[in-house]
Amino acid sequence: MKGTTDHIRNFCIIAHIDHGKSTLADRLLEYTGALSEREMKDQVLDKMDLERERGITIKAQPVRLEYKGYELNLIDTPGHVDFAYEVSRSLAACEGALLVVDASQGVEAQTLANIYLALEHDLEIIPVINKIDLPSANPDWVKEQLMDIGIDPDGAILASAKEGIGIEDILDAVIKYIPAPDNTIEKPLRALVFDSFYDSYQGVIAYVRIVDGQVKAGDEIKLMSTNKVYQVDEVGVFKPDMVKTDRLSSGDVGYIIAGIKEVKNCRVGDTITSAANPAAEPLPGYKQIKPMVYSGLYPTDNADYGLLNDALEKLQLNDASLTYEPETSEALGFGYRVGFLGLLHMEIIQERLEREYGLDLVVTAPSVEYLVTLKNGEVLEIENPADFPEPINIEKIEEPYVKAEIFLPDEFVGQAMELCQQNRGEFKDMQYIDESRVKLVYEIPLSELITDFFDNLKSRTRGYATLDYEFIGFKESKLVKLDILINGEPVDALSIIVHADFAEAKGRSLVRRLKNLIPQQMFEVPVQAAIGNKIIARVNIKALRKNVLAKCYGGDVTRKRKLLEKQKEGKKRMKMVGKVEIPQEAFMAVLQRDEDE
Amino acid sequence: MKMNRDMNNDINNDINNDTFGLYLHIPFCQGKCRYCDFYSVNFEREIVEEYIHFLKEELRIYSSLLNNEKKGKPVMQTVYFGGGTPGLLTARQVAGILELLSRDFTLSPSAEISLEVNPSSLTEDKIRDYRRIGINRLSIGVQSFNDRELSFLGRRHDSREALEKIELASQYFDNYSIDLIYAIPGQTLAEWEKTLKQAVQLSPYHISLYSLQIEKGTPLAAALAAGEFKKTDDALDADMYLLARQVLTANGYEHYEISNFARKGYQSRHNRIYWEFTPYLGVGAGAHSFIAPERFWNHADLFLYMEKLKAGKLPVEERIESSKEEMMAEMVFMGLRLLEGVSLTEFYDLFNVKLNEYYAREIEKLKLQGLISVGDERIRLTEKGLLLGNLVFMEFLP
Repeated sequence: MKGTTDHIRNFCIIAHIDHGKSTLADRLLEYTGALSEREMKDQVLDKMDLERERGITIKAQPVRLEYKGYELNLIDTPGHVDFAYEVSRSLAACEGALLVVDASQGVEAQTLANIYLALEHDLEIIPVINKIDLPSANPDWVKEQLMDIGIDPDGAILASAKEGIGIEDILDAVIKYIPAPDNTIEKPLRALVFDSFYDSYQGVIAYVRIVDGQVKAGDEIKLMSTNKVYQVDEVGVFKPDMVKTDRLSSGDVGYIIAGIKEVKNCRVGDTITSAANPAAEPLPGYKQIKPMVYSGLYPTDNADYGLLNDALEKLQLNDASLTYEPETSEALGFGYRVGFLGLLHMEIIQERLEREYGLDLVVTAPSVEYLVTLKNGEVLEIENPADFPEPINIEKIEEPYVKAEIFLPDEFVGQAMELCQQNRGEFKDMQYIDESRVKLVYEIPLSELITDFFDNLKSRTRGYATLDYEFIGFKESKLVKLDILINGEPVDALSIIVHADFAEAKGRSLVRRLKNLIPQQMFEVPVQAAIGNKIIARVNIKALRKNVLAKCYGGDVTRKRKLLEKQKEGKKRMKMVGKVEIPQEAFMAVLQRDEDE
Repeated sequence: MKMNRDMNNDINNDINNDTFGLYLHIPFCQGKCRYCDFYSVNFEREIVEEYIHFLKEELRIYSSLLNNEKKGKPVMQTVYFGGGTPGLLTARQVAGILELLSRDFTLSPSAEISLEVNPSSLTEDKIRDYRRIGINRLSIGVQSFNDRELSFLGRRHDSREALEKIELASQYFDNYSIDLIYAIPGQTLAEWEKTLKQAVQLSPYHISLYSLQIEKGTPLAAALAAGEFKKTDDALDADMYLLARQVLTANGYEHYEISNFARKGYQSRHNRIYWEFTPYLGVGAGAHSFIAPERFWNHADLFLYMEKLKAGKLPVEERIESSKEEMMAEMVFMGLRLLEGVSLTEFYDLFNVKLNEYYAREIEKLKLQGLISVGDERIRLTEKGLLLGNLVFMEFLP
């Protein structure tokens, strides 16, 4: 079959969250015998425990299916706005996409966003109406919706991934409608890295789509963004486990192992070419992605600083979008300022550090990057509120803005607009997508979006709204630094940057939340919010007077010990700041929802 | 069974596993108090008879298991009937158990034999008969002398009945104890003082005080969740405790354990066994035992308990063997409950480890916080430490 690509189809599955993407992928694997039923765990392609638990995909997982003499390469893509760039690279590796739509939910905001993305990459779209076994399924209605958004519904396949209905039709459609990749084996090698993975034995494993040419073990390759040269140790394909092959050639999806030590030297979107016969131009679309959100990560126990360093290093091997730099906090000691793609990314990293590396962490409230122009003309990029210069030296402050697109049923428009206004949003546009669905466009400071905006939006729209946003640039704002003093001492890790008009209200609600989060200590603890030297809010946490097990429990010492262990466990997860023990959640107080508000 | 076996080699053989405190659990009640989360079932004559049959069966098994060829029958220093409501048993039923004990075990002649009673099920005949068959200490679940508080707790007696029954008990028993609960929602410091003064006036030899804990799954917890009342805040709770300490010590009671006060010579010997890290055997549904290095406990479910014995098996639900570190922690946190504290010598004799060196960091911190005091021979809680005992105890956990 060498030299021909007729038998290859490269495709992905795009879907709104919960519309059954992972289940469908599982069925395709099962049906084509890539895995026996016995080997199947639910959602095989979501490799990380975290992915399986949260029902989301973080890394792009490829697998080769063998069906009727064809090689069908399925690339499973991440499904969250934080990972939009990874999604776009995965799509760039394909010629077609299965568009999965839930038969009773219909087309949703994210479905649309995905379709646009797929069309941008010239992908052939095969609509799959999933979950038709449900009593509430309404395929005709979904077909009408598809028609409305410009997708031909005639070819739509009715399926139920859960029940195994329509699986064969889907595979046949992939062969019939998705074009084979171009055969450009004679051209110089160009391979698109759509993901990469770090393995402690083999180094970086690059997941690639060979666009032009071919590559085999022993070849010298070059990463076009860095011009670094490596020798190929092994190439192969995913079945879904990695299986070594002689070569990969144009049209193929597979992996390359070439002694690359760090994922950041083999970034998603980069082009691999031949060192001896390099391509003139890299493949389009490579972007060095910049973090949007920063927060401080500190070990609860200062002795774990080295462990945290090692853990971040290892995570970065696998996650090139993760950036970190050492920082010190007077309150928290030594830690790192870590940059993330978004809040979900932040949560995932935090959870992985705690789970996979056994670390107990204090994570400070997320912040964005501010541009601060000093009176002397110097411009500072500030990612940590604690580093803000004295107000007297500041000429102006600029903050990042995003264009936020909110898709929601029209009955909630008023609610959503109110929320946007409360979060300093500027109205830009409103469009009806169909009779009842609306797209709202706002420009909002990113800092407002990364607090509890999304939660608020969800609760105001009973979960119906979806949010998509992109960075549009920096704008000048009237911002001030709000400091928190605990027991009379400023706690740098609790400082936040807020808009001057909202500072007092924010200060009041923050001290109130902190009062609920910080347990009583052996002495009374005042909690204050201040702007500069001016105290704008204060609450007192009363001293703990009594905490002792009274009952005897008839000699049940085990129960006593367990109660004490629970209390001790809670204490362990606290950070000593001055004389006060502060639980980890307190540092995220600014993100917490305040029920009285 | 792994009894009478040597402890871990590095622990001395000084935990004497040859004499025991014996706890007998009687899981029957005439109704459930609103704060209680102990396992109990409704009192029914036939089930009680059957239960006692199996309780005796369990005792017989232990008697033969613990029988030592050289030393003879296991020696019981104290016997404690707890519940539930052991006071629902007839004197004849209790006598039957005591008979078995004196036959199959060695009951020390000076043994303390206690039985828990509630005012509502106590009669003069019963009191007299209990005394006659050998019970020498009554523990009376009074809880309060305030009728509003008693009904809040779901007790089945009022203050008048409590006074009447205590008066009766005192005619037959010198050595009786009363239990009181404080920090009851709505209770004022003045009301608590009234209850305390009433208790002092009756002049029992022993008084136990418990701060009301609202345990998960109890009717009180549900009422709290429904917003029917507010929890007593810890400042008032602390004030009530300090008031009790003051009133009782001024009236000749020695404060000898966090929750317990006694006239000289009348501390609860059975409860001291728990605090002093000495072995005890618990029989009956849900009862707990400690025979170093093991702690084990029975099925709490009455029917499961009886079924196991019916099949000739011990009704043990789970056993855990404590590590040396765990035992050290247990000895310290149980021992610190006694106001006399933990003896450094006894600790060393038991573990070959110097308490003040092994826990040097913890002790230093707690001393700085003013929670413990350390002498040449003992470490003990300060008054502040009595109020914040958990902060002390948890420091010693491994």
